[in-house]
Amino acid sequence: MKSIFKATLAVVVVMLVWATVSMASDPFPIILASAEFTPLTPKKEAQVCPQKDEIDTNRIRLAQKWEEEEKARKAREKGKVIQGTMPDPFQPVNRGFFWVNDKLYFNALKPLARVYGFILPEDVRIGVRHAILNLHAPVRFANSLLQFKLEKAGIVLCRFAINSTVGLGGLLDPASQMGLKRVDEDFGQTLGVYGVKEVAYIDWPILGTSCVRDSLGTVFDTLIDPIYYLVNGWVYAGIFALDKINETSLTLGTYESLIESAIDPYIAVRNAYYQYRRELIQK
Amino acid sequence: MKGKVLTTLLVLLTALPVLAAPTPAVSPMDQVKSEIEDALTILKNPKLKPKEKSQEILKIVEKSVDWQEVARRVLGIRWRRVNPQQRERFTQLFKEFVKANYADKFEKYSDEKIIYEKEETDPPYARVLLKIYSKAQPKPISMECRLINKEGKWLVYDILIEGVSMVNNYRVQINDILVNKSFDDMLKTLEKKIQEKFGKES
Repeated sequence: MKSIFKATLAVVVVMLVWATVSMASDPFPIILASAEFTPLTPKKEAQVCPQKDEIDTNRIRLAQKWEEEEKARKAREKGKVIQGTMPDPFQPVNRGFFWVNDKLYFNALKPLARVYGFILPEDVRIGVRHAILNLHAPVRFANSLLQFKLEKAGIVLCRFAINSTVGLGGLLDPASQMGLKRVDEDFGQTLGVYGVKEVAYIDWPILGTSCVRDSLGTVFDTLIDPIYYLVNGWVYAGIFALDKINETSLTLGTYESLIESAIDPYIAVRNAYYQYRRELIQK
Repeated sequence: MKGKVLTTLLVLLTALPVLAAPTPAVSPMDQVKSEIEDALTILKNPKLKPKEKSQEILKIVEKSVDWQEVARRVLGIRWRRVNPQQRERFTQLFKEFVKANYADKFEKYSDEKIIYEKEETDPPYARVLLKIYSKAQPKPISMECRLINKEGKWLVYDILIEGVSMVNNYRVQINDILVNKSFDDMLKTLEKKIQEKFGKES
């Protein structure tokens, strides 16, 4: 009986020690993982090295060995891709298109969006945003289902029903006031949920930042979009262009502040896209 | 006898995390809230000129951020490989860089509504989640402040907007520079950027 009590106590102590250790460690491990990098190999060797080896020369030799290993590790890490970033094998091409898109933004899209925003009041533009969003509701519904997010699928359905009718064909968004918040799902996210990685970063001309996974997603989403089959191809492209100009007019300054506050704008945009998509997939 | 030793051990172990990290009197959310509200009163003050406003706000920013923690996280694994003078220099430069970047950004504020959603504490860390409601945004912008407890005060070490961490973003940029350039060259690039910003302002 006593031995059982002792054993339980021992287990409790071990668990407590473990709990303390884990509590003391970082709650946000991704960030600290690289900040607190400690070479693991020397520690392992220390355990292998038995206590009977108390001769100093031995220790010196071991220390030298660690140092060599540390140097080799540093050499290996130099030029290695940093953790927590998207693979970017097409970087030279992407940088070229990034430059093109940047020029297009400042010389074409932005002036156009300014004129557009000058003609149409903000409320109308917000209405246009809602209407376009409402058109693509079937895509979000399908993707919610594909991820087995049934609640989200239900919300998309209800939003579509309410906003298409009471919301005057999607121009207004009464569903949001009823507590049905906007759902953001696409096939790129669906693939992400099932563990598909970004593969490689792609900065498409005109279409903008994406990656192999999300580009496939966009193609899939277009193919399952009823609107794609209901209207002429030019009309579909027109809706895309209108959406782009409309969004730009409503979010003027967002792209600028990201570019201005960057050390390397290309990397800043790539990383922002990577983090933003990862966050969306987790939701 | 043995039982007594074990019980003492148990008590000590349970007390350990509490002893190690004393929680400050102010909750992280209250701290963030008071700082943001201070900044908003400055922004709404009609007597101040735009430049005075940004200067006043930068003062708040300066004292509410743990710059060394930010610099350490931005450098990542390289923090340990550079000497203390280089660390100090980088911390100073990065602080100047951030301040120069955001000096003219405060003017864009236009009566957005801020909702303080929740806080999570995990000593010595904490995070405060906010939602910023603005008319032109398709949905409220979610913002997360990550704080660290330093000597009884909560200091910001990272801000995430829509899940995009600023520290992470800068770390990837700086590490990308360091692949081909030396640490001192990277410092020079930063210096040049800061000068560009100030050149543009005046």
